[in-house]
Amino acid sequence: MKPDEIDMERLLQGDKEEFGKMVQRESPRLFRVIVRMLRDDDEAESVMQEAFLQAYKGLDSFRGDSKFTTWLYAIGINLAKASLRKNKRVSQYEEDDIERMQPAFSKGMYVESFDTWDPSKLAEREQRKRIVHDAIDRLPTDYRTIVILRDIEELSTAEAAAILDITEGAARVRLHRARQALRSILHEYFS
Amino acid sequence: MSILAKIKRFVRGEPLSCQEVNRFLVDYLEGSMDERTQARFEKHLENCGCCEQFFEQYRNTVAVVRADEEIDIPDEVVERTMDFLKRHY
Repeated sequence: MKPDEIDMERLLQGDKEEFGKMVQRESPRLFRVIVRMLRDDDEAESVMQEAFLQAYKGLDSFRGDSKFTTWLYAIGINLAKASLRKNKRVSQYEEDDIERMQPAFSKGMYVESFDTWDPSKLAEREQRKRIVHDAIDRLPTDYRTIVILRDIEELSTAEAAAILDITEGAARVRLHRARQALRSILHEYFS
Repeated sequence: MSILAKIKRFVRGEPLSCQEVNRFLVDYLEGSMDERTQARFEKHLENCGCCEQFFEQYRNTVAVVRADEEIDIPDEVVERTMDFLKRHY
């Protein structure tokens, strides 16, 4: 076994050295996910530390029916959601708003037409990043989380669904609705 | 249209409606459609300007989200996390 390889058997028995390797390996991505959810570096650090601690103390409850990282990310995301509920920072859209942002159909056809987005606005990096960043922040937490996991961290639908404890079908529907809401928000800027 | 009628249409391979094409956007972009449905999806897109434009906006949305800012974890955060765990194990 290579020095940085993790011995999962020993880790699950509570070996601190092996758990430390897991912390080193998974911190970057777990931190990114939590920061994107909370938009607060200090709070994200604190939530990540608590997530690792809960995972370590709950090793006995890891049943092994998912990947260890899936279980770890689920703990981190649930703690981040709890933090958001406690300290609501950004004014977010409600479910009704998300519904209004979905395209409407009549007899199976779109009721509106769509134009091409302005390529110069799409290419303008700094402004675009700010607009996209703000749009993602305003999504309700469940929608923002699926966008972070699937479209930013590029996890598979199966893994994102397992982390969020929903079916793959539900994950696809939630992602689709989130993307369509983002499209609607971004349309005002890019068209 | 009843669900049964929709299933019959689907099984017969009849052209997809715009609404059906919309529902397949996630599957199409993640490459999880079966070949037959994908062919019907692409055929609809070739012949429907409205769906083509919507698909372009949808795909651009995913692309600009994917290009969101990079976040790097400062080394000290990992060090502090390791210290925190040593104190609380």
